[in-house]
Amino acid sequence: MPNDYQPTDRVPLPPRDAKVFTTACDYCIVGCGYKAYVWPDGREGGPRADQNAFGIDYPAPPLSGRWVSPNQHNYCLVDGKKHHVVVLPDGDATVVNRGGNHSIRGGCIAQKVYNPEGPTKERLQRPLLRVGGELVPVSWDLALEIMADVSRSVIDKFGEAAWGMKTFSYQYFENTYAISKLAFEAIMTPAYAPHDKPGPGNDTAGVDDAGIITFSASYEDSSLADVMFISGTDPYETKTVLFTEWMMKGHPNKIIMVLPRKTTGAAYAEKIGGLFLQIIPGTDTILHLALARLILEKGWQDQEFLDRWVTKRWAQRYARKLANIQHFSAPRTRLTPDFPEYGATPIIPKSLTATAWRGQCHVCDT
Amino acid sequence: MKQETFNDKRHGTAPTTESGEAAGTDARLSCLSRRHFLLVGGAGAVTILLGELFPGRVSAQDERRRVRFAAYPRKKIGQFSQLVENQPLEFLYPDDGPHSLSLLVRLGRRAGGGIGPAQDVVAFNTLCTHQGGSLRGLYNSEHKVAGPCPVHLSTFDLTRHGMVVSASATEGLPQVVVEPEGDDIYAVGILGLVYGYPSNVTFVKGA
Repeated sequence: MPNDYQPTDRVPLPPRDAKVFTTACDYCIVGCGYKAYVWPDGREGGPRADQNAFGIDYPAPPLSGRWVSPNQHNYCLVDGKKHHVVVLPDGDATVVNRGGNHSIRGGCIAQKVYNPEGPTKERLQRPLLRVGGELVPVSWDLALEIMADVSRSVIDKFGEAAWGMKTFSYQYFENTYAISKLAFEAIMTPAYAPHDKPGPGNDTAGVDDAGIITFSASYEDSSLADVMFISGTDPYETKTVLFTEWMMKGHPNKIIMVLPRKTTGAAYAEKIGGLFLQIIPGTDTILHLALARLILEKGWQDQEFLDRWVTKRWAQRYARKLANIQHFSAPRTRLTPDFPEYGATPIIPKSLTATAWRGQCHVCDT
Repeated sequence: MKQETFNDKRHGTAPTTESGEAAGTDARLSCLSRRHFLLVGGAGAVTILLGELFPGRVSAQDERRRVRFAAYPRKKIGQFSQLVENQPLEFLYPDDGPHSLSLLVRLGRRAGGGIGPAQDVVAFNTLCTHQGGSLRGLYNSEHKVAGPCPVHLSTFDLTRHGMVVSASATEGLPQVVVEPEGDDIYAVGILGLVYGYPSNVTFVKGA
């Protein structure tokens, strides 16, 4: 089995006249700024400040954001000619990702650049049609004609709801505008599923209905929160720079993580005085409701916040419903072996600042 | 000058790979001449199979991996008799600067590139390959990893050539290639790029 990974002991540095492009990461929702340095093959920058595009003397000190790891370098084609490309976090950015931090995803952006001599040479370059079991290159005109004919036939026979679209929703609006417009305006189908949802609905339906929009908290808010309750996701893995640049730097930040396995972020949360609640998959809704009930019974909710910001009718109706349940028994020990004693040290402080974080393909409903 | 290889000093029977083949005399001689060539011939970097660089000391799945290996100074960094299992020793390699801070440790578990009768003595650079946080004092004896780095939590597997376990780092922890000579342990090279350097060799004095 071939193994393409080759540890190397050197990396080319961009020279002072390398072309610099300011861009953003291709991956998670955090949206870190990046810079791509491109220069022709055949020459390189050097380790002195006057020899490289970063203007620093090497070795780069820790946290400089200017060291180029081998995976941050690749080759590419510009006008058919071989060029170097180095993709580093934008060290000049003053928001989101400051100082050149990155996740393992963003740190490897250079590897996804089209390089005809590397693994990306297998990139899809033309429309392909399966003919007799084999994929055959076809023209764009033919591909679009086939797609239009098939669509027409399905819509005429079964109606527009039989024509469905599943799409991603990353990066910029421009990426998804045309295809969303096709689905909603041209076809007018209700069968539209963006990103991780089966339909065009809210990320966290219950929370959104209550008037708390999931993404209303700023990254700075996560560093200022006293407590964060994170259920069904580990932001260290899925929104790494948000976790390492903002959440980890918060003080005196306590983090409660509800997950089936103790991942890196959960282990860290526990280590700094937070909680790891190991959940049996499928019982997280019960846990959330039990916690909500506990808060309301103890009167620990921030009533002023609720009165002012939360859709009152919904909250009051919910509170009444809970009060009417006479014999509510949450199987505490089966849910979370380390769940603290009811009525002992409160695990949630009196003024609860709730921030619901959506994980990949998980929804936190309270 | 006679270059002794680890094969000469190995206790017991001839080393075998995980697939059961014995590392034969031919492999030993070719390794001797290649090592001699690399260290003395001033050849610069070559591309070599991991299984050739560490004959008999690499797991079957890693044997055919190609790595780049350059000529480095040969430096005594410790002795087998000094090593207590799970107690790393520090040393500087390939130069005397702060980026050269490294650890030498007897893991108590067979490791990729490990030397000694149990193939469990390994050495690594201790600068996290994410943003240069120090992994000094962060060897975890239970899991045989270095980390988590205090800055952004990167963790590296010391039994698998410093492979990233969980991290923001985009490169494994650089492995210091070590060779035995009697009770002495020598550092002879590095696999992977040390944090902060554009090239390991550039900063080696006299290289």
